[in-house]
Amino acid sequence: MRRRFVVWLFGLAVLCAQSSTVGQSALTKQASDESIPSLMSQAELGELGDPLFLLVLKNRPQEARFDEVEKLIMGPSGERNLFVVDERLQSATRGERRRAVTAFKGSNQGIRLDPNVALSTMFNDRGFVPAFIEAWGWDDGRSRYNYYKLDGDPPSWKFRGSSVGADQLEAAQRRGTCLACHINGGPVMKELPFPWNNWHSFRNSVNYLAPTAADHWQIAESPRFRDLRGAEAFETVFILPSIRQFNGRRLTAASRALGSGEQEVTDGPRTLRSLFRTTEYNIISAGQFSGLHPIPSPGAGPPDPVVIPDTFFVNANLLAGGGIPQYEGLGIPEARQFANLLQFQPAEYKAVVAKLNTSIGGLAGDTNFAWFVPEASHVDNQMVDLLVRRGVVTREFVAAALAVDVENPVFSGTRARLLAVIPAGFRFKPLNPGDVPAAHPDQLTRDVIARLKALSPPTESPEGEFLALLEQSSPVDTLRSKVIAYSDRVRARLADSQQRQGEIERLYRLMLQRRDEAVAHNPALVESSFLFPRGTP
Amino acid sequence: MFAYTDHGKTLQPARALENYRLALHLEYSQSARLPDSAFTLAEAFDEVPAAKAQTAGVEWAAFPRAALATNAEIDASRFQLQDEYVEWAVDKANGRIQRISFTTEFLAYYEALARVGSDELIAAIKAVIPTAQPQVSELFGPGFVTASATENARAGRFRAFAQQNPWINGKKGVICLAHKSSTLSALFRLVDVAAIPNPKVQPGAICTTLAGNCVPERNSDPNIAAAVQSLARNDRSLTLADPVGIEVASLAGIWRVGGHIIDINDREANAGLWKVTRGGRRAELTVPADLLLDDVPIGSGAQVAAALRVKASIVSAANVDLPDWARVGQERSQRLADIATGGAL
Repeated sequence: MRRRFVVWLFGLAVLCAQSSTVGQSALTKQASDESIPSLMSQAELGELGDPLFLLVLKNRPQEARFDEVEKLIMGPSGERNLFVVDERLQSATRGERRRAVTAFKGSNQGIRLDPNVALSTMFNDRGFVPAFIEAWGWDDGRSRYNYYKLDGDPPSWKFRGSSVGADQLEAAQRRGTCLACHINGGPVMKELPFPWNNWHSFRNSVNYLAPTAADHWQIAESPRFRDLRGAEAFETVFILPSIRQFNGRRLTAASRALGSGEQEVTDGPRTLRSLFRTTEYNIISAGQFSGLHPIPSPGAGPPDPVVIPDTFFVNANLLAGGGIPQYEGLGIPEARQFANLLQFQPAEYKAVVAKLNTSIGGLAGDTNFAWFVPEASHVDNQMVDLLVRRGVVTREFVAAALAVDVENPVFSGTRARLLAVIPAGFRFKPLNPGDVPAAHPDQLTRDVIARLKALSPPTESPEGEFLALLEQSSPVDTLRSKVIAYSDRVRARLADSQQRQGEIERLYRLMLQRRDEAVAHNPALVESSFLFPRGTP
Repeated sequence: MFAYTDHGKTLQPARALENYRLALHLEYSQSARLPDSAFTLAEAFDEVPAAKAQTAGVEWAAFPRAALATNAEIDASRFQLQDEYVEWAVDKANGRIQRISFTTEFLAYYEALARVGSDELIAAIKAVIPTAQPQVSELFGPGFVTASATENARAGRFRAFAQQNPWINGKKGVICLAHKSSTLSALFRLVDVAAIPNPKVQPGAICTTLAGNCVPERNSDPNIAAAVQSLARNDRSLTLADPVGIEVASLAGIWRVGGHIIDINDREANAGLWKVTRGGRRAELTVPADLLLDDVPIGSGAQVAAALRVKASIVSAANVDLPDWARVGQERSQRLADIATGGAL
């Protein structure tokens, strides 16, 4: 959904020339920005069962008015929730465009709206950009997301693909499609966790969107903005349930029942990919403002001490469990110790930002909230948690995998290598709530041990380390020890006045590296140079 | 004194309602007299044209964000961890969850009844939980003779014993909040101090400047504080809407029974599984074995709390639309003092 605006502009120009060749009375499909839209067959239309199609496009495929589309979705009792996100959110300059996301609650014609349909649009201080909507809808019967786009002149709706097989696409296949951003095929909210850096939220309320503010944008007086909500609601009401539902269905589809009461995973590497690879990332930051954002002008630095999030150091959410994401986790609460590990005094933070020549959007400064850094994604973590809950893998197996390169919870090439030793298929006994999990080592673990041994890996290699971990009686305890040792090591350096500055700079450089890795991982998600600050490595 | 609403309609006899109104009046009066705060009395909005006043709900998730603990730990540590103005109790049978009861009701409400007497308090509890058979010793602690005690003594004892009271602490029921931070006074102090405009920080950061009145790690406090600060900074005066308190707004998530999606918030369509009562201050989820939230069976109260949205309502109007005596800077006005003092007499 959140694709580079420049790409959209280019696509729009192409489509302006193309869409006149297409009839306006039926829904069209368009594989990528560069392809020519074509009419959908009745059979293809019969495969669409999401709220946007059923409530709008099925009978009114020509409807291009945003108000009408909303009304058709809501019906008499649905509720609209408006959210605003933009990398230039801090700027109140009139004429600039902002991205809005509209989601719906309630039901219409027996169709559940939340969290199953969302529209992405653009607006400026006076109105919404006409005839431009990007949208997704969840087809519950087929367990898939459908993607649509309204654009062109004259405007027309296009079906832009579904989530089916999205996770298996290569980068070239994604180019110019919605799946360039929606890597696994589900909804994406990059800045999912608190404090939602570029979103309007209770933590970062945008005054120019408040109709009570003296210098508000005119559009803030429109009825739609009475439904303005904070990112905290988008996270908990829409995205988290969506991903839980989506992952649950994906995992169900990934295995088949055997007569013995067991199940068989039919594509092991695909099913376990989230454990070893970063398929998507989220972005977290300190909860404190940097005070250094260049828009409208840099301030004096953080108003409060800056506390670095624990997920920067390790995959604390998955290791500890609990919290808003609702993971069962691995039972390693020590991972939360990192939340108290590095607290910058305001002057200290300001100094390191300046020393490493940090800039954002070409201007000296930092993000709105300090220490803006990619972290392991919820879509991956929730999948791993689900794998354990359903008995597909054991906690010990997950612990052994996460213990390899534990200090790099995201974009770990070392851990990704281990995916090669996962068998194509394997059996497991499905777990229901209250069931006793399979004992370690389970069949999968034994299979992987055998495959690793066959490689005769050097002890210090990732494969060798993984093998050693899997052969232990309690990889969870080993992971716990590694976490504690890492925490103690960093804490000691930060506590030593001779080492503190060097350690701060090392960690800051690591943060810069993670930003670069995020850009390389998926350039389509970087909508502008105002997303990630750059610095001198 | 403002005729504050009895949201639960269980403040009987009239003396109980008077007690509660007086408790509210004292809170409103204290907040309204805080220098430079945009908080004012509810009475002020009687003099504001309806079209000029706005009521906004400040909404947050009931799940305790500051609790870095598992769901089971959060369920088991109510008075340590359930700190978002929402508390709950889980009823199990044969190891399976049967019902989860949520409350946002302040202890002060029942304290108003305790002031009148134990019989009145017991009657109110029975109105909430029809099968309840509360004993005086359960409500006030062993050895306390309510009949000979003064009103203040009864209220004080009831308050002090709240976390041991089985009709509060979940052993037999969960009629109201009892976390030390989730009090009526805490809500007023949070709102009144957050309503002092502070242009030196962004509204979203105001919480960290409010010392002990606001805990930044929570969902509730910073959410309320930011909303109030934004209003105050935009030259609006405000007050907590009547009936004051925290209201259950909705349950998020995808709910299924028997594999079929249900609209859990629709009383007509949810087969009685989710009941919100007492003006939104109480909610009960009945948990059949096949109830799923986001395709996951219900395993804890905290799991449901993560989907539960609650809200506090704030009334505001442009400062110029308020009567002179109620505007920012008039915290020591005679009229305000008259109302505040008159109500207290």
